[in-house]
Amino acid sequence: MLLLTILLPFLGFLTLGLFGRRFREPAPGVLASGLVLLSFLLVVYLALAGGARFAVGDWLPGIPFALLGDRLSIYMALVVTGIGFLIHVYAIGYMAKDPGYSRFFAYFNFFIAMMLTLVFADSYPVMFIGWEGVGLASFLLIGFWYQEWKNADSARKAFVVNRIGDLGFLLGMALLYKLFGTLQISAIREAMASSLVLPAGLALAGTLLFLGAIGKSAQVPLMVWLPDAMAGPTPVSALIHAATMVTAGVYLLARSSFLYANLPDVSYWIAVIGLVTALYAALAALGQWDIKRIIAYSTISQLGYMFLAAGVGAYWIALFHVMTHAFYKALLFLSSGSVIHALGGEQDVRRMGGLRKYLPRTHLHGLAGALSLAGFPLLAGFWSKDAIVSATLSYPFGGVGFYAVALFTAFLTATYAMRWYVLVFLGDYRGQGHPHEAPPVMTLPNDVLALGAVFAGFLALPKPLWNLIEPYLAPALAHVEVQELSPAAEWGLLLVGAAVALAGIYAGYAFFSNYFRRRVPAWYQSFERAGEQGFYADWLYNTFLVNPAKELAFFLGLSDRGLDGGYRYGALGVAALGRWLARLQTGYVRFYALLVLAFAAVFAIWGVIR
Amino acid sequence: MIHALLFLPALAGVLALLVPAWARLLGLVTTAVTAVLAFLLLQAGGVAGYTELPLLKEAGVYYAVGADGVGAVFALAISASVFLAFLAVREVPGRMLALGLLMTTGLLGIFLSYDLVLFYFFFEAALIPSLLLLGLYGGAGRVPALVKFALFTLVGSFLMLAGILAARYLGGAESFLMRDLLAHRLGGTAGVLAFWAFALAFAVKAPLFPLHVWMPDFHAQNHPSGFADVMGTLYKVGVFGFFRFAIPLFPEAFRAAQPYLLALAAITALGAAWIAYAQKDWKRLLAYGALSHMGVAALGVFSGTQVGAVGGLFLLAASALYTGGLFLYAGWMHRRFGSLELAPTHGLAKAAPALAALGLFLFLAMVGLPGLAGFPGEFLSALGAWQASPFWTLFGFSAVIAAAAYALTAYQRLFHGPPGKAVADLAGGEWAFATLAVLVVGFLGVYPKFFSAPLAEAARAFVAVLGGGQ
Amino acid sequence: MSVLWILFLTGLLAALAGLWWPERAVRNLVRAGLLLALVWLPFVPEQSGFGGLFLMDGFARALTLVGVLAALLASLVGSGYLERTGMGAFEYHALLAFSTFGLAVMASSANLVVILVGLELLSLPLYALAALRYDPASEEAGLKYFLLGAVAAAVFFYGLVLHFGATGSFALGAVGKGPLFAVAVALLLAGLFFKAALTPFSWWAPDVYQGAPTPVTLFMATGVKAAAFAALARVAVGVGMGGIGGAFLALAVLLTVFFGNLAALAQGEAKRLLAYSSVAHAGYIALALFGPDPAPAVGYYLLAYALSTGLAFAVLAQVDGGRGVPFGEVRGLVRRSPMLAGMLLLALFSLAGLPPLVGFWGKYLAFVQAARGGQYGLLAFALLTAVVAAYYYLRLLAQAFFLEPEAKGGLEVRPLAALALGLVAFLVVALGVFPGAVYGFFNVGGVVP
Repeated sequence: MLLLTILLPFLGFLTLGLFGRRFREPAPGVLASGLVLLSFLLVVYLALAGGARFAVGDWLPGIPFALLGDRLSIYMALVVTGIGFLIHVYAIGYMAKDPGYSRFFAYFNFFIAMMLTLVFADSYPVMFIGWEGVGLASFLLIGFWYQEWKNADSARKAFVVNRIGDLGFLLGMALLYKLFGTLQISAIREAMASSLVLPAGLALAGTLLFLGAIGKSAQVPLMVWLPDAMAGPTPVSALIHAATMVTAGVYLLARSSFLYANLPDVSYWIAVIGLVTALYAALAALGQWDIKRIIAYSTISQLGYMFLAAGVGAYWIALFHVMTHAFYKALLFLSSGSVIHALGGEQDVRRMGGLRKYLPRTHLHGLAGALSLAGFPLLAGFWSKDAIVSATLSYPFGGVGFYAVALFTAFLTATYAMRWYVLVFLGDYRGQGHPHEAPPVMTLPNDVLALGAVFAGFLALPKPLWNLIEPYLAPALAHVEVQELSPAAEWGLLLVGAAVALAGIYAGYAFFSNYFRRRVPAWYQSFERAGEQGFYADWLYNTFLVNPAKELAFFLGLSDRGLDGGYRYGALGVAALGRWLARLQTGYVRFYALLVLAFAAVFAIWGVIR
Repeated sequence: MIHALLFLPALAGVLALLVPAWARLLGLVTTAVTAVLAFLLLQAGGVAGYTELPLLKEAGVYYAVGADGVGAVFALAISASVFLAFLAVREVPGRMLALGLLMTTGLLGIFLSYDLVLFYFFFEAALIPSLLLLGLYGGAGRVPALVKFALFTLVGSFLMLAGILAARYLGGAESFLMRDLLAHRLGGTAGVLAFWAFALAFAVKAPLFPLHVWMPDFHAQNHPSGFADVMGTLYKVGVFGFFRFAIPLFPEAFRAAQPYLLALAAITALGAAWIAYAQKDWKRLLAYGALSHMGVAALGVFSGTQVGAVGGLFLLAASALYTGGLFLYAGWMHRRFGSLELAPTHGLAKAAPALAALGLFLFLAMVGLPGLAGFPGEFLSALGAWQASPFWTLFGFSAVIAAAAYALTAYQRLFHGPPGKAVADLAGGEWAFATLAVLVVGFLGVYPKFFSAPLAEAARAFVAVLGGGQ
Repeated sequence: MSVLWILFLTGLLAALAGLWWPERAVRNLVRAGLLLALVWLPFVPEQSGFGGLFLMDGFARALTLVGVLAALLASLVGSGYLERTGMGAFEYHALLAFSTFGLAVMASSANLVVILVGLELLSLPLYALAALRYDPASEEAGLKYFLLGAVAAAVFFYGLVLHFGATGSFALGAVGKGPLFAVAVALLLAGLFFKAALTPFSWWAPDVYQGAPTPVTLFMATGVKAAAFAALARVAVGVGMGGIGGAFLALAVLLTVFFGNLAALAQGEAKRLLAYSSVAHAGYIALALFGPDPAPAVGYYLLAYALSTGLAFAVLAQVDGGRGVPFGEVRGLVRRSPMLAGMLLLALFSLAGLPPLVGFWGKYLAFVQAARGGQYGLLAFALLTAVVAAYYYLRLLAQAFFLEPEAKGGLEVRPLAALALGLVAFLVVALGVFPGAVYGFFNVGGVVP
């Protein structure tokens, strides 16, 4: 059953990859979407049936090929296949008339298959298959329009940067294997539960796995690939670089929560990294002019929030945010896609504006997404984000410092969300195109997503109201001691959060609605320029790491030649010695006779004196 | 059965030398048969087909052959690789293929010998066809490349011969049979010296830094079809030599040398992958890439753990398939463009999508993408190596980053970007190679148990010698 | 004894018949005699005669076989060369037969005086053979060989006398000690080192090998080497390797493998190159003398070496037009005659000691003896220099295979010569794959009664 869930989209990949060009549009899209829908239904069935297991023993020596459908993986798989299906449907319209239509859906199905492998894995190497598999899908889809060098370069960058994290994952597995003698996740979990003393080196293992998560989820310092990943078609950005793949890092932390719950130091640093990422990306988002890059930075920032939650020990909240974020971020991307579609490929927000008039439906989608992102009270993003912000005070690895910075970042979030919304939809149209609304195949999925972005938060409300997610996930996650806040404090914090969000929304609206009609202060302009460059992270990496590494490759190549030359000179030395020895062979008989007699004498004398 | 497996290629090779026109057909049939035989041996378990006949009885030399898990796995991998090579080549001299068949017997013998002198016999016997392949069908700079290859190999193997003699006569064994030698191990200073004699030979053949310098020229100068490169790749048996001979015969000396060997392996792994990035020629790129793999495999075996040994050997067997496949692929590029330059054009994916897909697939296997044949070996090597030295594991396995960089850069330069000169996509017989290569490489990635279970069985004895470890 | 008679009569008859019969008949007579000896040898019983002066033991039988084989090969492949260069044809065969007789005498005795007689019987016809081509190069070779050979014979003779003084016996195996015995050993060994071409007494070899007619060089490198090692093995073992003799031999081996192999690097003439290689191989053979059971190793190595280097010289004899074989002559041989090139390849790889060729087993057996004698340092050094050897063999091969020919046109090989070449090439491979096939014949007891 579990295997079938994975195999269905994989089958789609094979079919479309091998014979895709024989299908006519939109058959490939329909086929791909249908298979994902089937997978989704299978997952729903699994959820109702209460889970499943699948294992092939000794797949590698001592390591089974194990899949596990527990509540955590089913929850995640629902998000992946559910949102994935909607985005597949959207792409039927978005990718229409693209020469690589069937190839696109082949890759898309491949991605879903790999993502499900990642999610259902009960063994780290199996998860690693999915982990690198989605990385490959990401590579293929970022570079989907490979005829532009820029896209190809972005794709490679994503893959290589991810590999840095993957190295951490790989080595983390090696260490876990050394400590536990197995890599089956449930077995390690049981071993941890039954042993009283934690093995030394566990913290390092946790750190190494976390490094993998940093790469995949584009956290500081490996965040540089995600903004460039926007080179892919917009549905790709929505599916892979917002809703699902990039949250794999969070999923890994949650899957390994039994590990991190015992590692306060590592958890502390996870929270710090998450917070720094959230703040950094929120600031950088304010400087972007590309409609998709704004959302890309926002994704990084939101992933930072998830890491913060996982870091303080609130694993279920992190997953809650994964779900709400999947809705509103997919929605934001897809409505951006509709906008780009409407403007014939235009992505610069400075040449947009006033699209509310031209794209009424998309405008509503954008508004719902932006407000949910901004944390407008009662929308999905509000509930999950505020759960995170208050968790910094109640969960074991949190602290007041975390709370303050998280709150400030929430303000920034609301501001850049409004900036995006205002620049795209409000004011007057600043471009020359003739915008037109998208076809229903693209707007209908957005309607569903918009519903989610608005209402998904009601699945888990603060006490004393209902909370469906925490108890559902509890058996699959590590148990952490929570310092319960009183309902009054909890609701108080909620009010503070709401106030901050509203303040941010107002600030963003007020500042950007007449941004182009007045002089912007110089300090803000320079801040904006720095933000546009992601605060020069790329430049720093290129100057101090990437280019030296490339140069070093050439230098090492030369050194290798040098080593070769060294051997050569050694050999030439032997040859020279040989030539010198050969000169003893003078050709004169008298000389030879002399040598013969002399050596005979030497032998004789040696024999005597010995 | 095992004798047929061993000598069928040589017989076919002689026949093919006489009738070069039949060479390709003979090769395909022969290697298909040997693949089946190897598969049967793999199924048999234990040391299948063990035979002991006196070869030079008075001198204690026996024709002792058998296929344990390792032997059978490699017999299968060699047969498959050579079969793929025969499948891929077009319009090449028949005698070249005949030499390949002759060499196959030598290669199989290396993995199936249970007598040290017999092993040495095959180890060196494979050298002559290898030299001829390079010398007769190589490029303009073949003579210096050949001389370099031969001298490095011979320095190592001649010293190893001294080590072999010492292992028996100083250790006091009755014969050169492995079972005798293992019962009379040579320890002490003599053991250390003998170990290093073996180690030198195997480090040349692995190859490991700093004895690898023959390798880039060797590949760069070989016949552009890539056929000889496949044979050369299969001839990189040093890691296996450490596993089967050097380490079990001299465990104490190995323990003392382990830190240095791990360091050399790690330097090889990372350095080669890094250098590969700077290459502009198919053969050199693949040579350095393969070299990096050998470093990784050596890390696995040098870990002295079961899982590491399985990983190292798995990687060795699997990399022959996809690295060999890439060499043949480079041969196709040469047929299409008339040069081995990495990127003679750009944007080729547009005109030749199937060619691009095959290239990407093989490159990804080389990069060690999980789910393909390159991963299990690399992964298990890492598991083992970490237990021996976390630092060198980190150092050596940083190669996975460099590997992604060089492989994807190479792939993208040719296939991505605006469409340039268009050449034919996969056609006719090329599809057969492509299908088979993809199936084999994919199968080993998805179901590594097929190789890893027999390897693990054989590696248990290896670990027992060293005393412990998983 | 019967073999000695066969060889003696062959030489005598050939010399007489040459006065009346055509060259062709003499040639066939000699070949028939040699073949008869060769076929007869394995059936000769072990025996001794003349009060122990004559000793046909297993070792003598084995080495005589190698020598006769070499002579037969020299006779078979020499005809074409003789015709091309206008050499005295019947003398060639007759002298060859006499020399072979001397060779058999030298190999079949453990008495120093008889060994000396055999040595001279072997050498005198050779001096003439070396000078047989009547041109300055050939005459120089003959004269050099003669003069230096005389010096060496004198040294050996002096050693023989001192041996008698120290032990009261000409028989090998007599026990002796003291300075007198040490000097005797030194001089006896020095004399035989000369014949076997071990450095530092090998100076004659490159000049003579190069200058002498190629088929004669073939015989010198194979047959003479066998006889010299037969005597050397008996003398070395007879005087004992534990004492000063072992030290002399070790030094000689060290110098030989070093000098022979390194100096060969500088050569640009194939025969001269193989001469140095021959010097180096003498060092490897001598390694076997350190072991407790040297006879099979020495015998097998000499067989392997005779087949391999014999094959190489035989190929060169087909190429050589009488002016030696500079590399240019070999260049592109594979284009002119793939068969000859293939044989050269087998010969050189076998000389380099690569399996699956017979040379590997020769080296292997010799090294085993060195290992059993505990000479690991010498062994490792010898093996390292063997790498150098591999380099110059490859250089020669590269000329033959990988470069374009200077001379045009094919090469004609006479049918009998082709047959002989093919047979030897077959043996080089077959004995490489089945080393046990003839090993029994060489697996004989000690070298000294």
